[in-house]
Amino acid sequence: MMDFSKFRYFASAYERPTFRYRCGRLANWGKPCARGPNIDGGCGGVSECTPLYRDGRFYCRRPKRAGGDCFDGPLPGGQCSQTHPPCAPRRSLRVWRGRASLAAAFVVIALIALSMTVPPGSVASLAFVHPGPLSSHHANLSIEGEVACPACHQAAESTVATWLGGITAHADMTQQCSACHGFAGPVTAPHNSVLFAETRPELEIVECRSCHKEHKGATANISRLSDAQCSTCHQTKFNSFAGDHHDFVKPFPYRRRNNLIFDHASHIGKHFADQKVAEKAPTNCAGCHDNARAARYVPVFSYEKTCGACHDDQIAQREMPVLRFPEFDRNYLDRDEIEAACGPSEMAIEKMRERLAALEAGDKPEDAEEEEYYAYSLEPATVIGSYLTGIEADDVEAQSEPLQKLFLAMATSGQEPLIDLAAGRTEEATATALFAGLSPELARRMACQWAYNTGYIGPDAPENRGWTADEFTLLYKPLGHADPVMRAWMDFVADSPETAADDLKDKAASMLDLFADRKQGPGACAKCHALSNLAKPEAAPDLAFMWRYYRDEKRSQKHFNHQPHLELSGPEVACETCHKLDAEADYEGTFDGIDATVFVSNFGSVEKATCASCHNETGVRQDCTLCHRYHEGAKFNKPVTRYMLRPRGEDRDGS
Amino acid sequence: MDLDLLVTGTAGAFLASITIWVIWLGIDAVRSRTVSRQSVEAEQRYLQAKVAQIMAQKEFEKEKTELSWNGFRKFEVSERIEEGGGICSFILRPHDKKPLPPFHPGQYLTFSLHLPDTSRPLIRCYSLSDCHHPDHYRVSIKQIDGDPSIPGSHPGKASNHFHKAIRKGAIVDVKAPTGQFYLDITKAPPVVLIAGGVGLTPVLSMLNALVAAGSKREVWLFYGVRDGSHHVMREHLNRIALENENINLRICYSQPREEDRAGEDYHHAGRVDVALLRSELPSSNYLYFICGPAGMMRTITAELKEWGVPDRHIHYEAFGAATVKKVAPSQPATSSATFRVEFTRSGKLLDWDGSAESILDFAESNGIAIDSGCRAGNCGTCLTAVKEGEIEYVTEPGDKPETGSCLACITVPKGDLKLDA
Repeated sequence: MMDFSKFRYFASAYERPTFRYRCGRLANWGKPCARGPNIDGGCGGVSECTPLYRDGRFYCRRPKRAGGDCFDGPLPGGQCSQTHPPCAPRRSLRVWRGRASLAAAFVVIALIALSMTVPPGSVASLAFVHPGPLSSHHANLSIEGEVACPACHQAAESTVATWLGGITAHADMTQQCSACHGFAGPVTAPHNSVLFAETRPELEIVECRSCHKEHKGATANISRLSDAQCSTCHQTKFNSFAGDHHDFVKPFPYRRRNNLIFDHASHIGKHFADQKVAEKAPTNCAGCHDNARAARYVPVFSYEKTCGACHDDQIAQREMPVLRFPEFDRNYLDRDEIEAACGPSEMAIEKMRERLAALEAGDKPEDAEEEEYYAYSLEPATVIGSYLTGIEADDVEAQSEPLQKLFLAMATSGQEPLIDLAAGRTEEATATALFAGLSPELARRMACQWAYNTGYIGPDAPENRGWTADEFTLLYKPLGHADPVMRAWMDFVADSPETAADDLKDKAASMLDLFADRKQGPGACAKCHALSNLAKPEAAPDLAFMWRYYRDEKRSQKHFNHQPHLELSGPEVACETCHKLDAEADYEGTFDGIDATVFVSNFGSVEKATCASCHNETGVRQDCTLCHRYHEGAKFNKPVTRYMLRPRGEDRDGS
Repeated sequence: MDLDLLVTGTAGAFLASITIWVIWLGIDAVRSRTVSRQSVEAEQRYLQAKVAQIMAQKEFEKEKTELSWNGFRKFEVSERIEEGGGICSFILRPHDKKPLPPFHPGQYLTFSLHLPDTSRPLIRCYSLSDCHHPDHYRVSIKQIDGDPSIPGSHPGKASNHFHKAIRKGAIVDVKAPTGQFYLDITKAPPVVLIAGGVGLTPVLSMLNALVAAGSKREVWLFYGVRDGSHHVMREHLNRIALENENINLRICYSQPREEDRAGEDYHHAGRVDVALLRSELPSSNYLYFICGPAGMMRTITAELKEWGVPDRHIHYEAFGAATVKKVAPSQPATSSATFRVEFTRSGKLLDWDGSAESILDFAESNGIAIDSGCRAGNCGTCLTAVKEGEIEYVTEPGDKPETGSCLACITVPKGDLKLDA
């Protein structure tokens, strides 16, 4: 190890690099004096020390390396007795370097100044100020047919004044870029992330040109980022994906459960193997997944081409009981009103016939007496009816009068009273949608029968699809998959626990339980369409039945394309290479709750090693931007072509 | 504001600053070249002066060696000058009329005197009191009378012999100048010369030598005497001080008489001491040359050391009783120890009990004759061979003898000793 004490002031005349002068004796004869030059360039070695005065005597302070205390000692006046003629200190290397730098700076400034003497308009044509051709995307930016430097460089007007102004102007150009290029979040926030902009203000803003370098030629790819550029900001540095990238966070790439309940394990392992459905069952993944449209996701063919083959019949079989003729305690209706609305009942006609026959026979029948009321129906009210009317399903006394009046109203106005009733629980349009397709005739006929306290018997056999009614109940039988009435009811029911008044919450919850029953629920919708909470964890629940496949839109900066992978090998092997079916996973159980983030996947996690087996040093690309996208929601802010063609001087706000 | 004017102005200022800078660079280059050349020439002159000084020293040494002599040389007293205060100067010219070797001011001559009542010649050393002259030396000798107030004091044999017996034309035997108490006049450091009484003689030699060499060294002479009657060389000293700005003279009378006028005859009433030096000198950074009574030298030496003056800057002349001993005279440690000292030629075996000041004293008190001169370790007369045992010097010898010999006048035994005497 080097002994640095040998450079201490008393031990060596080591030439400090910051000194502006060096000893003249050193320069002339290679033998420096012990004291060296003064700060002003004068010789500091005229005397060998500056004596110290103490108690009436001057003491020698000559450093050890110059021989220590001299024999003669200081003179009586305090001067050193050892004097030499002054040397002429020379300027040090530092000064010569400084002069060279200054000269270079002068030359550069002079060249720049020279360039300014060229007449305005031809500045850009000088080779040494031209930064190089633009990429093809930007090459045609023009103003009145000329190359339009000012479109990006504010200071690029061809006058000396703007050039001088450009020296101090802030020229990050982000503002000019964002005139055309837009993003989902703040332009200068890292990754355009709203989250970063709000929660991590300490992160510095990122200018466009920090990464995108223009003037690299027409064919240059200025949007491509190198790994080194990513590493500039990211504290975790990667040399390579295969080498340094951490393992994927399991279960990769799933972050929540599916919207549609489809148990790959039970279908592949059990149902598709069943001989009864063998004809309809797909033979591999491509039977359901449309490889031709594979991109980030490999979409599934339509319901009709896939699930419908086996499950279509189940939908119509699950009818929805909307309104029921329940048990009443007594009659609250005026028979005349019913007759005014419905005409005489069958029984009344029968009795009238009997009276007429009696009259014809010469009898004088007595006026019919008021008959004692007996309950024709002993059924309970429906869950839906209970929610719409607000009366407990088995409360005979409470429900008798309002329901009888409802029936009378329906007998007069068809389905309208029902819609009005539903409108009390939801919006008018939704209420209408709930009863779309219900014919007024059916409603009236059914209501009249029930108002007369008799079971409904339609003129024809009950319908197998759509609105229909049996003796006691108004039913809806789904027409098929994606039935709009059924979907309206599902949405209405999912919303009702939130929108219902406090005294109706229990009834809304019972109704939702009925609809969300995967085995018995109306229309069998809940068999596949999961009921999920869309609200954030701390907020009030916002329930909905999920109609579409789940798409992880928030992870848009992670980019994966199935297509090239599928093309590498046949679809049979390709899928299973990464997506390994997990037969043990309790996939169905995942959907017992409403929290979509608590889940178990049908498939094991995709491992980094699987990717790295091809994406490594010797194989396929493995740079950051292969999978990650910097920008979030990159888009054009305006029709770019029109902007380019707009004449100079016109208002540039794009309106 | 007119932009073109601004641009033109900026460009003009820029070009002007470049032009000025380039011109300045050129001037600076020429200037540094000139300064560099001048510094080289100055260095050359400096080195030439150094070489000249060394050559002068060499020349001095060469001349000294060539013209010097061994043993005693016959000199004739060409003149006697009564200086007053019991001091008489003797001008000695070589009997053979050949040129004399130069000497360092402060050195002394060793005389061999043949007194009528002694069988052996008496060896004595006297400082040269003037600068070098190729044809003569000068010594100034004070006549020592026994002071009845001091017990054991007796009149000086040699000084009385000089004053009474040596007349103009007398022939004396003289050794070549020698001594370690001298001033190198080729050097530059300022000096303080301190003289007490007749101790002025070597100091006067130094002063004269400096004046003769035309030296511009700062010189202070502190000359302490009892009163005006002992103040010798008065006119000579005053003249030198008057003619040379660099020479500062301070006369101190310890007991001024009534007729001695302060400010004219003397500057300071009292002894020469360091308090006086402190008040007169800007600092203690001088070379000190002290010659005077033993008490004065001892006190001043100790006080100078206290003032921070290193040993190497204090020079004093040691003669006999005036010796500034480096160890205290009473030595309890050695006084109790007893060594056996054998004088082989005399055939005596004696016990050293530490009461004697030196082997010379010890031998003389026991009737053994050893030749002696200065009795301060300078003249080398008492050089005695040591056959066995180890010795110790009580003071630093002026000229250290070879191993196996000792200067008996300043030597004490360290253990049992066998001497050739």
